[in-house]
Amino acid sequence: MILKYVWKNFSRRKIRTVLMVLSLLVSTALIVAMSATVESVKQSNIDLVASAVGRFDISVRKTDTSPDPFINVAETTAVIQSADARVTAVYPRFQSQVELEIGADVSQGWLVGLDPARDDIGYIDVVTGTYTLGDGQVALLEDTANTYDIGLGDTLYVAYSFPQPREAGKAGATGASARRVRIPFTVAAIVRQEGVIGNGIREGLIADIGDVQRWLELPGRAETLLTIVDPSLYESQNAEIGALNVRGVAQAIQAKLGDEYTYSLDKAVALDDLAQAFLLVQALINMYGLMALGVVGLLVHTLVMTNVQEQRRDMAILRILGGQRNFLFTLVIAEVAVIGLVGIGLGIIGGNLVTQYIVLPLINQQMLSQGLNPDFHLQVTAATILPAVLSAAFVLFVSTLKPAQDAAKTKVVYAINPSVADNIQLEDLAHLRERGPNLKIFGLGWLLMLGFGLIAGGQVMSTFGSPALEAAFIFSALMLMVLGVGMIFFIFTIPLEKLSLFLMGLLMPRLTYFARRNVGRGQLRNTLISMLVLFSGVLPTFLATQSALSYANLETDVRLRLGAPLDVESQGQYASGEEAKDFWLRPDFLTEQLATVPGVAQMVGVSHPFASRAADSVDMRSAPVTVMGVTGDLNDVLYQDTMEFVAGGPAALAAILAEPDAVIISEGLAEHLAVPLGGIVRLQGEGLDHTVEARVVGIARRMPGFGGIGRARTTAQYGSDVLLSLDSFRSLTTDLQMPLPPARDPILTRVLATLTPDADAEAVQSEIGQRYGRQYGLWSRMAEVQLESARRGQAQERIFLLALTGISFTTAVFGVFAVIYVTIYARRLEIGMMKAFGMRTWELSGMLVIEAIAMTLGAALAGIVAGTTMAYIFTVGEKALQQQPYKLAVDTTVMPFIVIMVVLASMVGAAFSARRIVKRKAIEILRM
Amino acid sequence: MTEPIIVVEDVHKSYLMGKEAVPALRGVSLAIMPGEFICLMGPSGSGKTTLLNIVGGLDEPSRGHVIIDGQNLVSMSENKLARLRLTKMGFIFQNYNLLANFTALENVEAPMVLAKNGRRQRKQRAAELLQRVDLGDRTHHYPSELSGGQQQRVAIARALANDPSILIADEMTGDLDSQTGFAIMELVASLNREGMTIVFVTHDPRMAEFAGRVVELRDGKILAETGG
Repeated sequence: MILKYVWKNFSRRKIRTVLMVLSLLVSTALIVAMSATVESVKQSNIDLVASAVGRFDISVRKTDTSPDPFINVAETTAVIQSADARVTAVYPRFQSQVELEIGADVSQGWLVGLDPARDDIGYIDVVTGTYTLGDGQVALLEDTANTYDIGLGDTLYVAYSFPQPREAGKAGATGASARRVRIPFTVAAIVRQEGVIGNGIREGLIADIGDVQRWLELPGRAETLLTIVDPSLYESQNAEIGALNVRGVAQAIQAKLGDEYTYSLDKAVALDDLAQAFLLVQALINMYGLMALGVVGLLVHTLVMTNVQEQRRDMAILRILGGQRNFLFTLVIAEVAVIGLVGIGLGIIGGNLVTQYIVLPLINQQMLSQGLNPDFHLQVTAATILPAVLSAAFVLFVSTLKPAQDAAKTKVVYAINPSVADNIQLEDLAHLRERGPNLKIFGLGWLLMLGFGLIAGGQVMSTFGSPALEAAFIFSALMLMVLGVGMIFFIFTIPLEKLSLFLMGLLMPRLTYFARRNVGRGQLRNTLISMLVLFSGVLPTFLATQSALSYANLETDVRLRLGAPLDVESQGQYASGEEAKDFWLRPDFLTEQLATVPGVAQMVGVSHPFASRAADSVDMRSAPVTVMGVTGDLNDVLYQDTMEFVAGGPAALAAILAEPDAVIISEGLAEHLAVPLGGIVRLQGEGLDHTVEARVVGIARRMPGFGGIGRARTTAQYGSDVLLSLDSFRSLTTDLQMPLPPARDPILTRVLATLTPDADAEAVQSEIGQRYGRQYGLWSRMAEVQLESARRGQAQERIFLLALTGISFTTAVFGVFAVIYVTIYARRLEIGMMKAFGMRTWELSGMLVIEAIAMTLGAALAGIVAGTTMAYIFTVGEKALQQQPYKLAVDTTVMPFIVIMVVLASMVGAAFSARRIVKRKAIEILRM
Repeated sequence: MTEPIIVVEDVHKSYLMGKEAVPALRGVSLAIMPGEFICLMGPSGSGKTTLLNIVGGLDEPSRGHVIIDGQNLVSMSENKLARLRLTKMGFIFQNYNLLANFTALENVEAPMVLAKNGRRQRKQRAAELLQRVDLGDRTHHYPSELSGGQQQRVAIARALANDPSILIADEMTGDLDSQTGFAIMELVASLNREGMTIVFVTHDPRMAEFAGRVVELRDGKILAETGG
């Protein structure tokens, strides 16, 4: 009986049924597709990660304190293989950075010695020649061959420095002479490698390990043993578990080999990091999914409520015939359950099909174009399907509950005398006397607890320490914020509706005359549509505006962060204690070594940071400071446009070099100490009773590359940067009881430099990394490279945002469509009357379309204003805290997309919904 | 000699009820002179409302002709019919059919907006018409704030908005109490006295007494005509 009744209802209200099924289908499909894509990409990343870090699982080496840095291959391999049954292969390797002598040129590169007969780690792509190793024949990596114009049959020399064991507990002797061997090789092939040693390595050569052992006189020895584990260890659905499985194998090997060895699990580490990153993406998708389903819930609620109201008489008759309230309740629930089963079921199938045939091929294509070899396959797992199914089922149940309860409360009078049915009946009187639980107060209590819940909840989440829980919590808080901001900005909906109507009125005054009154005065339905659209618009606009702001400020941010086109830093910049000194650079590193890198132009060295205290001349006020000495005029290298002086001007940067104990301090510190330009600042030096009276020659508000120089006095009270000459710095940082160290002694930890106009930024960065990266613990950052990388990232971010906007708005569009459909149907008498007194069909359609556009556009614009304002507040606040300048920007991708989607949906929704009514004759409409 | 303003010639009308055609009108002919006050009466299913709708251009006959002021409605396009209704006719329905989101003044103004009258002119006329139906103090009230009689008076004012020559009314007093019904009929009669042609349908013989001619229908045919 129930199913028959449900089926009859579907037949009577085909469009409504189709709308509900479609909205569920689309929202479920989108969530499933996004989850399936993420899951598929996550799984496939094992392969991508492997190609990036090398297609091996565990790399075993001797520690740098081991007296013998080389491994006995046969013995150690046997131990590793016996340590854990999951070890499937062990390959010996020599893998180190060496000097390559090619004619008169000397460069850095990698020497890879491997066993060509057994070692099948990674892929070799032969560009030219024959990949035959042994007997002095080597394969040269393509980039090295191109850089030095080396061809097949050419000879090159490899200078190999034997590693020097370090004494335990002491830093290595930097610059100590090491035994070197010079080995000749003949180029037999020019190749590209993928996953043999890691994709980032493009300079060097691959040789037979037998040749390397012979030349180094190390038979049966290797630098490292690369271990392969059973691939099924990675097959867990959770990349983190896969990574932990591999760690278990490494621990088993460690237990057998002892402390003389170190272990690298680059692949597992990368996977672990990736798993954490995917947690955030998944949480974001879930949040979008919930918002989309929330909109579907509103839609279902509206349509089912309309159905119930229209069926009121039928239900009253069923009650007269003996149907109980539970029966009516079940009727409504059953109707929605059938819709849910069909919609969600089709959504799951649709989502997987979309992923399989559209999304993954697109991602594969894009990655192929970037030179990667992706092999994404659809992952259909409980993780991809269950969240969508459970959330959809929950949302459906919640949205149907009230209509079902209303149906259950149907009075029999509706069948007997509908006009008095809404008055209080005898059966209502009993309810009026009963005191029941007050759900409103209950709900209000929870609402008031929300603020506390968010604060306490955050602490509880971090106590549990689960990143997934924390991500879910953060995004839930974000969602609540979006809802809150949406509600606050709901007030703008009506003015924006009026503005839209005013503008449309200029074009179509007569139609707008009618639309204006209907839009302005249709309380409930207009609020519902506005809410649907507004909430869908806030988050995409917020994220898109943040992205736009970040893009607009990208160049300034990078310039401020780096300070100069090239920023080279050593580990000494961040290390502390005596160990830090191992990474300090000599001042002549600039002139003798860095200057030889092609593309590097002017340079200024910056000393290690010295923690001191600055005070006024009588020590009334003081503050901690970080003092840094510079080797030259920073005007030559820093980005001038981001520099700002309050006093002294850029000339102060030259003045600190010319005058002993002359300093540049921040505006914040100057204000805090109340010291003017030319005033004296007492700096605490190294050792007892060591105070330097420094003269302030410059007061800076902002200095690119030096984050400790700012305008805020409150910040400066807790720390700021002070700049002076290297000589003054040396004197300040030397105990008065000690002689001044020689000028050649290591003291620098940072170099700021410019590039020659024709320099290739990436090549310069790569060259510095190869030459000095390992030797001095250096890394470099190039403004140009960072900008380029950020720009590429931004393009991908926009695509991601558009996809997410598509998700949230697709369901909103269904919502708009459904509400317009229902309201037009409910207003049919009005429409019939307007037609009767002479309104033409196109005028009626036009009026309804204008109404729909005005309502949705007003709400979309309010959502855009809300999202944009929120993004501005966030960004401007953050910049103000960081005391950075900023540019305001407007997103030009997502916002127009939202407006276009909303306008099109309204036009199509209204035209389609109106069509079947307005095309009829007036009298037919009035009789409906 | 004056020409009839409405001519109905051998009009037939059938409705499809499921798979069967049910005749509502079976060859009705009628001529209505300008300024006449005609009442269509008859039991339920006699075809009176169908005839009224056809006369008003809201429905079309299955056979026959309807000529209004010299124009044959049968050959007219939907848009021309709408134009004709807008300029020459006013409609009053039993359930008033006022626009719920429009005030009384705006309801009266609506047909004038469609007729492209100027803002000032239509506001002034709408106010005058409401004054005329004794609702001068209710111009800014919404339909939900008015009684049934007041709503029907707004409907009458709206029907007069574009100064039509014909007023079509279907059971205009059906939902009103007797006293209010009579008051409405008095109002309509006064319009007739000013020269407006009025065609209305009623069940109530007391209301029919206001008419100059009563056409009685039964089973889709004119059974009798009285008065005139």
